[in-house]
Amino acid sequence: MEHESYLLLTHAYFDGELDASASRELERHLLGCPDCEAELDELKNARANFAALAKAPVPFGFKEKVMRRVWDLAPSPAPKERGHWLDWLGLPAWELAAALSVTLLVGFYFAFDYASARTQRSENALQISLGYDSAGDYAMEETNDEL
Amino acid sequence: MAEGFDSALLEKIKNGETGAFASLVKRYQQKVYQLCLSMVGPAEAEDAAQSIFISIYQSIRKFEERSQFSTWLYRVAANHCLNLLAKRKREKTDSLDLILKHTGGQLPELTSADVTLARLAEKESVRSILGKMAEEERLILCLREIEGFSYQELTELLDISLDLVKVRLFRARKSFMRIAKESNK
Repeated sequence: MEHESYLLLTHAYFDGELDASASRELERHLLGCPDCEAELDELKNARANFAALAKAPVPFGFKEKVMRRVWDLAPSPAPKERGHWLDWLGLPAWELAAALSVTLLVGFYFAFDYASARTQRSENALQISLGYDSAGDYAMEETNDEL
Repeated sequence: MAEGFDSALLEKIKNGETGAFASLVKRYQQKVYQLCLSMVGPAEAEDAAQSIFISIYQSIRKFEERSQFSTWLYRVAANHCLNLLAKRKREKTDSLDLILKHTGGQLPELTSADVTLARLAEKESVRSILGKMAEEERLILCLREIEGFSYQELTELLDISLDLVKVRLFRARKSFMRIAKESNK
């Protein structure tokens, strides 16, 4: 391999981008090549210079300035397409169906309860008007006995 | 993990949650600003970095996540910086043409004070050395030395082969070391 190629390898080696066998070969070369060794030292010095650059702080309020520009650009939300009338309730169809079923069941229960209570009241009223007390049949038997 | 977090943020932004973009800015502002600082210098770095984030926001819906978000972001940032430098070079040429036109083809000579100040500025920092390098060399050197990209990431980001990454980085470092030596003379 020519010296230029070893120099190129020195850079990749410095960056940790050489595989194990290429690294071993270069390390053997470095032992006998002061030029490549000096190159490696120069690379280390150069990197030390860059380390200071990597710490420059972001200007104060940078994110807020970007977001102000973004909010100025942000499009207003697109109007929603007119959908099914059920969409207006803002619920998915299955949720609406479930809510409707529960409502109907509760409604039927109360309606049945109300109807039963009303029938019972009517019967009681009829019994009272016929002279029955709450004992019903017993009172009737007594009446029959009297007759 | 990092990419998952980016993807979640991108999803939110694409769904219209503009506020989620603030998290993305916070996450990458240091790296983007740093790159701009090294590429275009302190006078224009903040404005350049802001413009990069605005470009990202405007085209975020077009990003299909075929590459990592960070790679795409840096590609946009790198192109923006290169465009700025090209524009600056054009303007400099135009102004030079204007000076030549007004002075009848003669360039005004620099005074000794100008030279001294210029030399002081040249020695001042790594940034001034970077400023003297060719744009593409400067870019690859910054991406490697400051941003810490691997060779593989550089191939994706710059859309060049691995061999070309190695050669370009080698040349960039050689230029950097040569200019640094000249500045120290």
